[in-house]
Amino acid sequence: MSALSSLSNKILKSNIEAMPATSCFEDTDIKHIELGAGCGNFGKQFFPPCYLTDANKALLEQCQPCSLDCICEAQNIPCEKNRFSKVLICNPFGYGFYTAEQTKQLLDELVRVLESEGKIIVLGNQTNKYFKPSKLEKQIKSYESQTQDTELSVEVEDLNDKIEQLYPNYSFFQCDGKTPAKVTHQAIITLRKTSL
Amino acid sequence: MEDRNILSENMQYLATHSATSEEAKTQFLLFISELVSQCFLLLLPKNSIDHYQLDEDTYWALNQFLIEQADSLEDAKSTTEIDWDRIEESTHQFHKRAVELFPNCTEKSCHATIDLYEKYLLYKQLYPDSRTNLWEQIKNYILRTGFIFNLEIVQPQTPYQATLGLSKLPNELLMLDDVIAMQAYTLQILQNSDSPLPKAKILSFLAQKNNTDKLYDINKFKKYIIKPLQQVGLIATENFKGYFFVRNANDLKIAHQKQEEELNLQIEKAQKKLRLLKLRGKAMGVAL
Repeated sequence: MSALSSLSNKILKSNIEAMPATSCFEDTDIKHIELGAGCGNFGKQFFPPCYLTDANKALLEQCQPCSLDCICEAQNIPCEKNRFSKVLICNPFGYGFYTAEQTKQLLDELVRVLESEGKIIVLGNQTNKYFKPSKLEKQIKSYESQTQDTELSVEVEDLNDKIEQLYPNYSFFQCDGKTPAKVTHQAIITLRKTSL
Repeated sequence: MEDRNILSENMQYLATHSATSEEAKTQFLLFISELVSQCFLLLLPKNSIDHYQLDEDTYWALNQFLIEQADSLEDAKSTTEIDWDRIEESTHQFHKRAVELFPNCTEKSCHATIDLYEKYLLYKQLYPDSRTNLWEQIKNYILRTGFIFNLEIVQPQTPYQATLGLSKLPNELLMLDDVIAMQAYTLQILQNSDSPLPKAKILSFLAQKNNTDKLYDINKFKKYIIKPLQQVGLIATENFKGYFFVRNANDLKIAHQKQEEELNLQIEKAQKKLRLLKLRGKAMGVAL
C-alpha cells in the first residue's frame, strides 16, 4: 500500500465515519446504487453513474484502490424513499434471498428506496443460497402477497454463455474479495408502486 | 430422508459414544485440507494465493468456489437446475433434528453444519452419480457422531492456529490449525525454489511465517499439508531430495508416475485380497 493511497483511504474512512448517514448520496443525479459491492466496481463500470456501498467497514483499508462511497447495510440504506431507479446486487453473501425473513427485510428496504418502475438487478451463481434464481419468482410473489401497494415482476435469465457479452472482462468475487465467483444467472425485478 | 433417520438414531448413541473432540477436529481439518488443495489447484496459476488465511469469509468463499467449479473437478458439464425447494426441505429437517439433539443449536450457531449438509445436497443435485462429493465424508461423520460444527471467531490467534473455533455443542470449543495459510505458504516456498526442498526447510519457513521457533507437528504436516497438495498434483516428491512445485511437463510426469505407482500398489493389494477371499470361498464350497 502506498503512503498516498493509505492516506487517501484514511481520509475517505474518516469522512465516511464522520458523515451523517443521509449525506452518503448527495448527488441527486446519481440514481443507481450497488449493494455489497466489496472491492469491485461493477456498478460504476456497467451502470454509471452509480454509488457503491458495502456493510463491511474493513474494506476501506483492504480494497486498493477503494471505490466505496458509503458503508451501509443492504437492509438499512441511509437515504430518503424513492431515491434510486436501479439497485444492483452482485453475488450477495450474508444477505439476500436465503430465508423468507431475509427476503422480506431486503425487499422492504429496496421497495422504500426505489422509485416506481425501478429495477433490482441481481447477479449470481445458481448454487448461491443467498440468490437461488430457480426459486426467486416464488419468493418475490410470496413477498408481494404480503404488501398492499407494491407490484413486483421478475425475469430470471440463464447467463451461462452470455456473461462475457453482457459484462465483458469483469471479474466477480466471493465474499472474501479474492476468490473468483462464477456468475450463471441474472434476475431483473421490476417494481411498481400502486400508491405513491 | 434417510439421513434424518441416521441422525435420529444418534440420540442414544451420543450419550455413550467415545468419539472425542480431537477426532472431530481431525475429520474437519481433513475436510478443509482437501477443500483448500482442490481450490488452490483451480485458482493457480491465475490467482495469487499467498494471503489466504483461515477466517470466516475465506472459509465460506472456498466452499462456494468449489461448488461453482464442480464442472472442472468432474470434467463434465452439469445441466441440472438446482431444486432449492428440495434442498430447503432436507436442510430444514436436518436442522429440526439437530435442535432436538441440542436445543441451543440455533440457525446462527449451527450455520456451518447446516451449510456443509447443504453443500453436499447441492453437489449431489449437480452430479448425482459422483463418488467424489467432497462434502459427503464430513456429512457422514456429522450424521454418525452427532457432532455439530460451529465456526466462530476466537481471539487471540496463536501460531499455526486460525481465528476460527470448532465446537461440539453445547459449549466445547477447539482451535483449528490454519491449514489454509500453511498450504498457501508451502506452495509459495516451493514455487520460489528451483530445486526440491526437504520437509525440514518447509517447516522452518512455516515457523518463520508464524513468528515462532516451534516447528509444526511433522505428522500433521504430512497429513493436512503435503498429502492433499500431492493428491491434486500441485506438488510432487523426488526420493531423498524433497518436495517440489509441479511447474512443467517433466514435473508433471514425475508426479503422475508417483501417483500411478501408488494406484498400482493399491490395485495389487485389492487383487490379493480378492484372491484370498476366493480361496476362502473355495474352502467353503462357494465359487466367487
